[in-house]
Amino acid sequence: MLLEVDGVGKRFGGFWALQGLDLQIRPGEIRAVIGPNGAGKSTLFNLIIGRYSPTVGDIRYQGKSLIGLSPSERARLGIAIKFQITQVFESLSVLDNVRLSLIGPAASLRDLFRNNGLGAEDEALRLLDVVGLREKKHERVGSLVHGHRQWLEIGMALATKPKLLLLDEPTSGMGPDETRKTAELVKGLGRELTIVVIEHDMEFVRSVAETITVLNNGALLAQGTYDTIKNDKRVVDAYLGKGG
Amino acid sequence: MLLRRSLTTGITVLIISTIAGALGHGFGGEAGLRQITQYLVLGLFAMSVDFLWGYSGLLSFGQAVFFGLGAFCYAWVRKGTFAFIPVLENSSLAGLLSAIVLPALLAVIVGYFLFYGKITGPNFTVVTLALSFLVSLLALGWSGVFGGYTGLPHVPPLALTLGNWEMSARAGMTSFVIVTALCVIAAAGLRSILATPFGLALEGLRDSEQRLQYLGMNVAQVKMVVWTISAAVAGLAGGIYSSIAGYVAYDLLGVLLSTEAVVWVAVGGRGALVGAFLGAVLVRAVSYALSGIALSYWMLFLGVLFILVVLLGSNGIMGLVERFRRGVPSATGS
Amino acid sequence: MGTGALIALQGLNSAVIISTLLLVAIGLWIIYGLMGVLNLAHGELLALGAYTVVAAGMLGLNGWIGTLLAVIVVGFIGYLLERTFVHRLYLRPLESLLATWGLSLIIRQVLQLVFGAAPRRVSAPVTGGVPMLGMAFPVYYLVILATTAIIVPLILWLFYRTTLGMKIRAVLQDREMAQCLGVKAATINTYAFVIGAALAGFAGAMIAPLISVEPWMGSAFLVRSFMAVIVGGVGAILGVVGGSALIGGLEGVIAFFGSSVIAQVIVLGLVIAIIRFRPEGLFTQK
Repeated sequence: MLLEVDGVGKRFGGFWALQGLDLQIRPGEIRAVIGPNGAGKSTLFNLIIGRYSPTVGDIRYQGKSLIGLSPSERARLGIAIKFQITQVFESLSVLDNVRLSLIGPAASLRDLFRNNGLGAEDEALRLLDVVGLREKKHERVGSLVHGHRQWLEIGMALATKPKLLLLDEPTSGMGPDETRKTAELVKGLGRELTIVVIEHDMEFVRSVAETITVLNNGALLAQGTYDTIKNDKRVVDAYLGKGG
Repeated sequence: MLLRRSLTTGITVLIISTIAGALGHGFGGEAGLRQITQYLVLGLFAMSVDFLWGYSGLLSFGQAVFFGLGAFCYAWVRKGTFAFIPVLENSSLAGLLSAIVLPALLAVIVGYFLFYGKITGPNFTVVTLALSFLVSLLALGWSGVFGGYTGLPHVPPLALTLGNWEMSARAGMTSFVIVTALCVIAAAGLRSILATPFGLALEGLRDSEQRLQYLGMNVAQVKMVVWTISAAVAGLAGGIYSSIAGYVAYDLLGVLLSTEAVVWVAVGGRGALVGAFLGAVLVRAVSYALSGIALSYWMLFLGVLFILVVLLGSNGIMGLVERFRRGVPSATGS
Repeated sequence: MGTGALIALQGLNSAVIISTLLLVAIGLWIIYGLMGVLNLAHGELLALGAYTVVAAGMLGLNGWIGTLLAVIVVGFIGYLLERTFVHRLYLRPLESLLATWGLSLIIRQVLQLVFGAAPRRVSAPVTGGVPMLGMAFPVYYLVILATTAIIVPLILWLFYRTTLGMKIRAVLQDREMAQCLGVKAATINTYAFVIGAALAGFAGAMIAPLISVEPWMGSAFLVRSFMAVIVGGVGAILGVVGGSALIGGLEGVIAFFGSSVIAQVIVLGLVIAIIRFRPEGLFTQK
């Protein structure tokens, strides 16, 4: 297993955002995580990248526990994320955003001070080709439309050469055309790396993921293929708000 | 690209210094030139603040601690306080070197606690403010070393000896030339650091520290380095300042100078070394020109500048230059 | 005098230091912790309070009236400041630092122009001492202790038990949500700022008889109360109480053995070291 979430719970004040969650992600898999708002999906991601530490339980990556590692250490192990609300470098150009991301994980201090091809332009341009933003390379990120910001952040995540890519709602704010492109992108990437994606768009989920995990009220509700999930009565109830 | 940018920055600093020097000499003769030379050193200090704030987003209200410490280091060495250490025996070079090294060391120690303790944003600013406030109080109280209210007078000017060649900066022109050269070199040096991947990391730090972390960068380490470099530059500026002013006192370490440096940068334009340099020279020159008013109402003058900078919201002189260059009218209709 | 009595007296002195610090720090905390504006002019609001008492004394008014005036005057100045420009600064932390620092410089200069740079002395509204452990413990110290013991619970009550307090906390937690619920964030902000300012004015008036009143007296209090807030943890009001107790107590003890400047430097060093290992503050939960 690439990632094992083992009995993880996270409490904020008196409220359990996640509770007793078990989850296994195989290498090379594309996994979708769905669930109503407040189900604990983003909390799960934040626990994996190290923004929060779990109240109970363990998270193992490549067989080793991640507990106690800082976010940057986890990133250097190959865990990358696109946040739900995109976090990019607003005042830099699209190209420099990707160049900086190429620099990110590799950098020992000595590397940072040399011009040794770290953050090289051609490599950054290749990544911009992958996410379809080469034309925008000189634009300031502050002026990008929402959909393009999403792609840019995916490109930045890819620049860190991840093994595990976490995508939190990659199609939010996109039209059908862009959503389809994003699905193609994710499927393409899935041939080389492991992806976990949080998404509301069920058509998107169906087209990219073999296995779907459904969370509700901070706990695992169901897991399986699109067809099993679609016909699972508990899932339907949860989405219709009858509680789990 | 790297070389060209450093050259442009260096040459711009040279041009500003020359014009300022010529004006100073024209209006005030030898004394005017000396005055301008002091402002240029403060310009160097301003560049250290801009490096930290304008490029990396770390707003320090305590940068004068390093400037002042540099000033005292030079004074101590030149007045023989460290004469028992053979290397530090009253030489200008040793004085300047200690003015760089000691502040940098202090920066490493303070930085370790601040950056690994994850003190960020306004808290960082106020901790540095507290540092500056208390260090200047400490200096005031420790009069045996810092000279109390009167400070340390009669600090000898720079005097360099290389083999048979001897040079003393007693003359106004010599010290102007030395200071200008040092400012040009420092500006070009800082600019070349900004052109490396490290420079890009600094700009990333300013925009989103969090994103940088999740990309795998060791953010605390990057902050440590930029903080230490900027302290070293501030210390160097302090060392030169004391050689020119011939006099150092506790207020060189204090909050008022620390925050005045922030105003220089805001007036000149954040994130442009040249702007910071120009800002320092201009604010000091203007306040001198208005000296009757500005000196007795100095805090009022600074305070109003602070508020104007925030309320106007533009990026100082460099912001105006940028606008002018892009041809955007300053008042947009829509 | 026996060692026991000396320690007890030292304890009482420390309690006075802590009380005055707490009065200043709570005002700072209301504006910072609740509204996200780190008011660097907070120390100058305190100085304004102290100078109000000075001015009242020059007019021949009694010290209690001076204290009352200080609360009203500084509260009103706080109102003017909030309405004219502080309200533009919410959620813009760096700009609020620059602007409030500018403000603090202006106030200092104005105080110096009006009252001169020379330190002023204010006599306490009550004099005399209470015989205690063979020494005369000033009555005014007891007044300060008693006032703090009333004010702090009052503030707690205001924030946690009244509708206004509830609204202020709602605005803090979620501006938009509070607005949906019909809470006018702008009005609430003004209230909170005025309360913070009035507290600073009150603290200044109470402290005035203990120290020499100078135009730049505020800086020291700003630094100390900021340290109290940050070491205690910005999250909760009890953090401010704990932080003030720690900072004030340490200062009292160290100053007993050396100078007060050394004490403050050592305390700053300790505070930085504490934050290094507990960034969220000593008295808040993670």
